[in-house]
Amino acid sequence: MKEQLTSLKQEFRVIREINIYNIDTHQFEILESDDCVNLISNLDEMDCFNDMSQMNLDLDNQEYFLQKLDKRIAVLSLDKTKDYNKALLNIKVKNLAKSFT
Amino acid sequence: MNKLESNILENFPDLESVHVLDSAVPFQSVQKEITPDIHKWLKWLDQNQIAFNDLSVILDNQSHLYAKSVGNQQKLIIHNKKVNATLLNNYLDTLKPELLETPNNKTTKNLREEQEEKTSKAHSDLKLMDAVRIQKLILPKQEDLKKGFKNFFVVHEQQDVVGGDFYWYSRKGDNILLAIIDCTGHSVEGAMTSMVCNSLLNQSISDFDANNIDQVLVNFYNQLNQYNETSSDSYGIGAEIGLFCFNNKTEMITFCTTGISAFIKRDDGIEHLKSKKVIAYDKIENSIAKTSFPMKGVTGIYGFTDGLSDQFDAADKKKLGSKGILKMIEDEQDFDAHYYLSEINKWKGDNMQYDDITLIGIAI
Repeated sequence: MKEQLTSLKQEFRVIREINIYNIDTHQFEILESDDCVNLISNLDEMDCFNDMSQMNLDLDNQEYFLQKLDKRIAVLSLDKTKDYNKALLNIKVKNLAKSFT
Repeated sequence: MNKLESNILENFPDLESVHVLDSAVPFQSVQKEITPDIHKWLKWLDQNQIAFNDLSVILDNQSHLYAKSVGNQQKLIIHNKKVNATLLNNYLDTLKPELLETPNNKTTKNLREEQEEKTSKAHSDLKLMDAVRIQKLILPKQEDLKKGFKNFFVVHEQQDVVGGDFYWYSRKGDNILLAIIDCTGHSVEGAMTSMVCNSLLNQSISDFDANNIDQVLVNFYNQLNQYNETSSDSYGIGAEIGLFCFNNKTEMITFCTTGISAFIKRDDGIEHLKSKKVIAYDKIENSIAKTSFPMKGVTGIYGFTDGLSDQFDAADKKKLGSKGILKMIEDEQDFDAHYYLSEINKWKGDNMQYDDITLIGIAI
């Protein structure tokens, strides 16, 4: 799984971090830094992940892209100063699910 | 009703709800007017007081929630189930400043600055039109293509106004060459790459040999590698090509491909010509899939880029895939681009187009 994440980061220089959160265990399986922890735990506390498929959150200095992959959430922190192909990143992150099975 | 709310509803009357709130007003104040599945999101927004610019959430039931900071200390919240998400996103990204400003703020706005913005937008639009026109220059005329074949159609749907897919046509003696090219990236990045690739492809047929059609692709990738090596940009460019050669003397068709798939329709069935999965640019000879077959018995040839097979359905759950394309070809009544475009649009529904799409059909 880590290989796929590294490869995705190499392909999309816009990605600062990829964190993987398990909805069942309420734990991060991969956590690169604590930056997203509050955001994710608050969303989980409100049961927002139950029926969420995807989320984009644009803050002043940070952008988050969340994609639900079965029982996991891929939490991507993106560099706002870099342009990237959103649709392509979307597809590639969705395809990550295959590497988790 | 707020001016912004009414403007949005005028443009998108099928939205479930639209609310503009002062920043101090909690999101949950509109809870009664929004379906229950959104309530926990409103609560989350209120409790966490996140200073966001934009929030977009797609729920499992495919409804979308948008929240956006707008104008003078206001926030916008939209719930959408039916409206095309791409259209709505584009609209929200380009909300007119006058709709976002309170009357007080408006009077302090520098009118000259506003005029300059409008002029700049008009110039940008004109430049974009020029880019579209220039990219169309590399596409062969459909009249020429129709002269080369019994029938021909193309569905060429770029994800943006310009893109990285193009098709290419040339004649060499008794041979008609037709290629489908999918350049890396789309939009402006893809379009710029397509201009380079078109030029490289034209150069690649200078020593054309009808017995070695794959040499055209070898020449192309050798030049592309050289281009990338000498370029000051560290990322480089790339492309997938499917090249058909129709030899009217031998009545044989050769298909050489790196990443482009094709279907060959005969009276007794349809054959899928697949490309190799991995393209190694430095060992391109090993990455080219090549096949030759007689023209006799072939009633249709269909080549397509992966933008078509990878297109997700309206529910954003399933890709069209080769099987979906095969079904379209099997069900085809008329050899016509409109039929395919309509089938693709039916499949896509209100979902966004993820990549440039090219589908070419040839009858010989």
